[in-house]
Amino acid sequence: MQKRTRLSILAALLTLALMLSACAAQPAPATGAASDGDAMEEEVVEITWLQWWVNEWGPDNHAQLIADFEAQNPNIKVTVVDVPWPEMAGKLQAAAAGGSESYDLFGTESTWIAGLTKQGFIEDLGPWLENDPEFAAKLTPTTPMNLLGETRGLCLYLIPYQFAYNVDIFEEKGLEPPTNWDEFVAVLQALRDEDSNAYGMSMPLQDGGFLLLRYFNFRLAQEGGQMLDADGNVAFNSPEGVAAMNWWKELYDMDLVVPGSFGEDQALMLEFVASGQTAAIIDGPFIWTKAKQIDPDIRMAYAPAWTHNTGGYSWACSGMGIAANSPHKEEAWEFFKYIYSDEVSLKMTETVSLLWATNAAVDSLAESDDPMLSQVPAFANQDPENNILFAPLPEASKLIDAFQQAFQQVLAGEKDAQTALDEAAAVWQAELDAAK
Amino acid sequence: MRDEGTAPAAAPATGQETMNGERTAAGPGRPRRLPWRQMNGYYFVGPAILFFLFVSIFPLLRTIQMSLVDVEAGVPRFVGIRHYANLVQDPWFWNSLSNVLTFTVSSVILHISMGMGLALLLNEEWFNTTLRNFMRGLLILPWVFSTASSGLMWTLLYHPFGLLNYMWVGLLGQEAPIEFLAKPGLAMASVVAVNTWKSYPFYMIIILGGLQAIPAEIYEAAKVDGANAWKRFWHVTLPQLRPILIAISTIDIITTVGHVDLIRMLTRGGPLRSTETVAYYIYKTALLDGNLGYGAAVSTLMLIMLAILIILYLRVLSQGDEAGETSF
Amino acid sequence: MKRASDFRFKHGYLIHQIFVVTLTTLSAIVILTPVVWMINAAMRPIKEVLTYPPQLDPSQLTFEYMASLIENELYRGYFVNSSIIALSTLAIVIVLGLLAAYGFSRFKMAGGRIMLLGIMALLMLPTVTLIVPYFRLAHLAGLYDTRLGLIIVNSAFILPICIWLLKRYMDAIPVDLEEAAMIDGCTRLQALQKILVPLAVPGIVGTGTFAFIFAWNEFLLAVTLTDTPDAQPLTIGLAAFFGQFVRDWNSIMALSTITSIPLMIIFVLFQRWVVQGMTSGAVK
Repeated sequence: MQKRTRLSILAALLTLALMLSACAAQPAPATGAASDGDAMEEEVVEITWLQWWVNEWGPDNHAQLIADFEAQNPNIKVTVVDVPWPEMAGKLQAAAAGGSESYDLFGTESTWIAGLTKQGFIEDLGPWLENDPEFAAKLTPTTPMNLLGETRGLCLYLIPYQFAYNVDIFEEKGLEPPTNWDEFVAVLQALRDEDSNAYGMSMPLQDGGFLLLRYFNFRLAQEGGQMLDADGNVAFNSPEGVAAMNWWKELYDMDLVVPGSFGEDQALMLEFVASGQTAAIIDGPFIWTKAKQIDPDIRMAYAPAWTHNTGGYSWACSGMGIAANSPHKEEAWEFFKYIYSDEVSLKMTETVSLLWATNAAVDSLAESDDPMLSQVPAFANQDPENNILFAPLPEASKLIDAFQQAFQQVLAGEKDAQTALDEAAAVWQAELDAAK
Repeated sequence: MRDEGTAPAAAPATGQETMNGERTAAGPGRPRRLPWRQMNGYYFVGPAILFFLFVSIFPLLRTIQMSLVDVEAGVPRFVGIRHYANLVQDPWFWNSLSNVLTFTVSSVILHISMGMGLALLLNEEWFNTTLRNFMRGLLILPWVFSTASSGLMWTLLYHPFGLLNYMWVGLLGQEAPIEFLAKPGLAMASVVAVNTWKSYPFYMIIILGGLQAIPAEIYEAAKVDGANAWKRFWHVTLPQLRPILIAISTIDIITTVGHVDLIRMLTRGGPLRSTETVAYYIYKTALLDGNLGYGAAVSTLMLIMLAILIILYLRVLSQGDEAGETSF
Repeated sequence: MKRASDFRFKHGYLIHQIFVVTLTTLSAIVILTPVVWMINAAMRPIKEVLTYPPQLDPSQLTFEYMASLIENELYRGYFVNSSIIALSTLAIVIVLGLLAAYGFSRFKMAGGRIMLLGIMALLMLPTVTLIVPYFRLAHLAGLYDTRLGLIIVNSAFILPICIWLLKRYMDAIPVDLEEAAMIDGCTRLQALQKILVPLAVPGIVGTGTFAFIFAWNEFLLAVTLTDTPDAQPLTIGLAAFFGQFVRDWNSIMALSTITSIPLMIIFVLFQRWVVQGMTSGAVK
């Protein structure tokens, strides 16, 4: 009898599950059919926007943007597909390789552009900009994401990298924000407290992201060097490059940055800043609004621009592209025009501290009280004194991997700076030559 | 499902011969029966095979096809075995292969020994059965928490500001924190530790089930013969568990080799690519960098190597097994 | 070592009990520390967990994060989707798996060995290898962004393991019992249902638990093959808390804690079955 009971429970469970799965299949086609029906009646074109910004811009804020656009363009409906940032690259690649027409426009990092171009997934925006000079005039010179002479995307917001600090901790310790690299080291020394295990900052070197490349590039540019020369050949294994690398190595050896940073990622770094465990960070202003999610009372501020042999900021951007196989490119372009409009630019720059890559947004910062933000117009306009540019690279992640390898080997004391940089440079040059 | 209805009609008379299962019954004496029995088997196996044909084999063939193609500006180009040729010369592929070997072997050994140890403890007679059942419930907890959140929590636990280093530096008074995820060799050990912690409960439960199926009389007999605890474990428990251990270690090897989530959460293959396993390398090459052809080539090669490895593994283990059918 | 039923040495029994209980408890403490830490992080402002040393003031504990998730309709939807996907996957793999395992275990078929070998090979496919083909196929079949699509691909990855495990369990069950039943007039399917399945319950439960947890925790397929919350499981809801720059620790840990509860309940239920099935003693 007992066996029978068990068996019938099992059978019931399976039947239930099968029934549920049968129900499961139904809603999807139903909703699909409904939206198709609407489209027929009102001749509304639906465009799908694949991106990762709903939570980062705030769900309400994000929804409002879409609602405003749809109000202005009643013939276009925008469907937002939100993918968490860590999964975004994979999703784009799957869409590109799957030949899907499901996404009309999408958010992208400059590191992903090369791979997407290879799949033929990403529209060359050059002709679009040429045909629409009025729109093109709104963009800053650094906005187009160029790869081998073609514009594959547009920067949506700029992320300058500069020393930002926790104002309360600095006030408590009576510290002034550093104005150059020597003061930077002095500040980190003052912030190191063995009893509370506190550090000035950490250097998250874990992921294949851009972070350590930016740190290196920041110092490299101020040493007077550059990553690539004017002809697009590798130039970072120069004496300036070695000097920059050795500078970071010395800092790393002084027990002034969190040990074990090799294993730390960018998010964890910011979370420790937000929780007051580290007092400073080299990152963009957008970071601050994020830190407030952990500590609503945190006060952050930028140090003034540093100079060494030269001045300038290192910066990056996240942007947008249009799918080459999209049947609705015109409508997608309309959305571009909206999202880069003066109105949206100013709103986003003000409310979520995202420095929109348009002249309107950038110019609005010229009068800023903040010592760093007031410099943004200069670097966005590619003032060579202020701008440390980083263009999209072919096979970007392979290059970053090679560079990361070199950087970590030097910091771990396995190789000297010159050897490590030469090795990385060889990898870079081979890829760059292949791409040409 | 349709097959279920038709199967019984053909079944009744076949009694004895089919029950013997394997080739013994298929003697030359009864050729007339053979097609019926074969058909019966296909009825049962058919649905699953059809399912595989559409849902697994077809996409797999596509992956293999992708591995022979290179895409340039959206135009696919047949390149033959070029990806495979590059692969053989790719030091990072070999690096990932040796990493996955370390990762898998140590994970499997730890999963099973930890599962075994705790299963043995839980299989003992406890003074209070409720307490034992409660412990059994607690010990599966790591398994039911999601991989992503466990991974995230472990990044904090391992961090110089985390709990483990708080105990090491703050309580034990050591000078420097342990850089769990930042030193190449140590990072691998740390990832293996988390993987062990996360997955051992499944193996513990299966082994516990196996232990409870061992008849008590065998132990009593061994005791009467004067075997001590260790001898009873070695000569009674282990041989009795052997089929189960072979099964779960095989599953463990396969799932561990294919593991991506934890490594993605904890190290992303670093530091110095010391925790980059083949599956992570595929993930990185294909999905992050968009080299789908190359990624597909790594996948295909990995699949072949794994299949050979598992067949060898099972062949070796099933030697001396009276059934002789352990592997297939 | 086994069943310390030797009451002649009472203090020996006591020492044995102390040894077993203490060792288990110590292991449990070590193993559960991260779990406690996760639950802790689900119940206090994350700033307090991220500082060094972490603050442990119990008065700061709050159920706010868990409550806000339970009240969140979107997350209830994810939960329903996860349950449907995991249960349906379970149903499919157990039904197909039992039939196939029975076929392989009890019949000799031309090509049977080849098929089994093929299934063994499929068992080794890591999800990451098939992501891109699945994306394309799901679009072609109209199963993109549906729960049914996820159920099917999840089943494809679990079914080989299930067939293989179940076949092994069935191989261990002597055929005499079925034989007897069939001589008594049972049809083959009745013999399967009345004799073999009950005996294989431990195997089915073990395999089923594995299948369920796999489907419940599956992430990579879900993120690639779905776009909207209509079809997305909890793992996607969880991933939504992982931003580029900052992660919502409280929600992540709260969600994991909440979702582990039904898994625990299912597990405890199943565990009882395993024990019953095992101790019924019919296997040997």
